[in-house]
Amino acid sequence: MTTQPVQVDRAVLAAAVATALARVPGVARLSPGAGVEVATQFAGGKVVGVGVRDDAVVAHLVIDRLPLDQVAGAARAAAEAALADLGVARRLDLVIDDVDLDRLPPRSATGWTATGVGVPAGPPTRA
Amino acid sequence: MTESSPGAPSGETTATSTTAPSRTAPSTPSGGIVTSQRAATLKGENGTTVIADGVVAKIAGLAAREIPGVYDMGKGVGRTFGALRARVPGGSGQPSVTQGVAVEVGERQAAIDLDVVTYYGQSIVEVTEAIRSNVIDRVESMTGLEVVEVNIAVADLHVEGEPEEPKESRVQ
Repeated sequence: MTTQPVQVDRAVLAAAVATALARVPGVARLSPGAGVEVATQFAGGKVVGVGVRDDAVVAHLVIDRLPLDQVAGAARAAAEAALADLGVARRLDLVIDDVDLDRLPPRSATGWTATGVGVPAGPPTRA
Repeated sequence: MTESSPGAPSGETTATSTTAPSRTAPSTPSGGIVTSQRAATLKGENGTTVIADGVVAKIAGLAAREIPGVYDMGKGVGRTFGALRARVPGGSGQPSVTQGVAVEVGERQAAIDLDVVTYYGQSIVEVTEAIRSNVIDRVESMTGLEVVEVNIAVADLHVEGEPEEPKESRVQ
């Protein structure tokens, strides 16, 4: 790739990742994390749930669809596409903090559904 | 558009209340008054533009305060004096915006030292990165000066709900 890294404002980067993640079916919301709040601050506000580090972008999620790996895969694809759009080549760390049980769709005969498609799955993971 | 990438200007973050930036800054960070008469000069073909130190200090002070994680600026002594000054009749009424800011301005470049007080419970690294990014962005876009470094000293932590210090004495 290029030798000179593209300069992208960290708040712009965080907002782009947050927006991309929020659109993914199965992502309930972004999460500040369990410990010290994960957020990217900028003048006048902050993007909660996305941290911009020197070597990586960290995103914390709460999901409301199972199986988890499909939602996580879709979320990763969306976030990495957002990073690629900005020309940022940085590692992406996804953390699933919680499953929102209240928002889980009712269990169908084929199992827990992910993104509206019936996918046979094992017992739901309780988080 | 600046980011804390290796190529971008950067400075150091000092998380201690005792070490002052040791560069030959003309004014102390916590003094709140930038007394230098020096100023940056942007030479053009048909004249020069002069930007005073105080201008850069004000922009930097305002830019730092825009970050939500910043509670206040200045060291303990400066903040106490600022609070006192605010209560003096005929005083400015508000602590100076340049409190906790020291700048060194050259012809084309500026170096900025900041003393900040952040909120307890958040990543200090994140707050200082956000401050540095915003200060560089604001100063460079408003003045045209190149910011070579922004040194941030976290002078104190503010715990929400904890009273700062006795508000007023009981006797007048």
